[in-house]
Amino acid sequence: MSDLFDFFRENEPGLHERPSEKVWKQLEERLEKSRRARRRGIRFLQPAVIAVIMMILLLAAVLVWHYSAK
Amino acid sequence: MSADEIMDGLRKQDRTAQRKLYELYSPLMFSVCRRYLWSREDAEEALVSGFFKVFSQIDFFSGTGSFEGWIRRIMVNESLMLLRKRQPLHFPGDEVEFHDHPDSFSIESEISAREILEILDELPPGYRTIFNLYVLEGLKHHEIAELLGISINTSKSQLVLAKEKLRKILKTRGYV
Repeated sequence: MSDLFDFFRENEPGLHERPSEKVWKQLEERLEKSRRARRRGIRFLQPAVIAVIMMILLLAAVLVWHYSAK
Repeated sequence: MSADEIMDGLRKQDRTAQRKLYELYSPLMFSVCRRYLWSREDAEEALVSGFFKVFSQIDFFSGTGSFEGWIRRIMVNESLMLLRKRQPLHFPGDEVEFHDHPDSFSIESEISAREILEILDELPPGYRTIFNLYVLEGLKHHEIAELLGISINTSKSQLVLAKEKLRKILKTRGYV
């Protein structure tokens, strides 16, 4: 004799089932897509970061030149 | 591959480690998703989304609690999200007067895993969701109420109604 809930708890491991192979393929595709998107993001960011650094350096050089000329 | 090696690999987004973890946990997690969703296709969709979240949010796992429990929570959330997308959850007989009585029962014949799933499939989505969360995930009524945005009393009454429905189904099928 067992409680109804215990019956389901005890039998839960019997429900474990391997999903079809296509699930891993779909997951792999999604992971690959997200990896490519991240890389594109990094590639896009790199020139932007370089441009910002150049601007800061240029501005600093102009300021130094301006105040030293005074 | 040891558990530590798998974890290191996961943090580096290594595909071999991801595959290893998937091989280890997919049968259990597929059964979790399947219990909430009727069709295999929906359960597989929730499984893909769940594992994608596990892999992409691996740095959010603190490492203190159970890793299996963390994955399981993600799978439950993904399944509930898909379930709600497919159909809004209704709770028939919401907050009715209920009297739960302790019961004991005996199963007179063997029940296969497939038949257990069929029995769970006969429950309306609201009953089944609360039954799963309370009985099989081990959540408390206040946690279920918070997760589903319902009152604690609704959670309690739905569980009693689910129990009664299950008893009827088992009787009809000649198991008790």
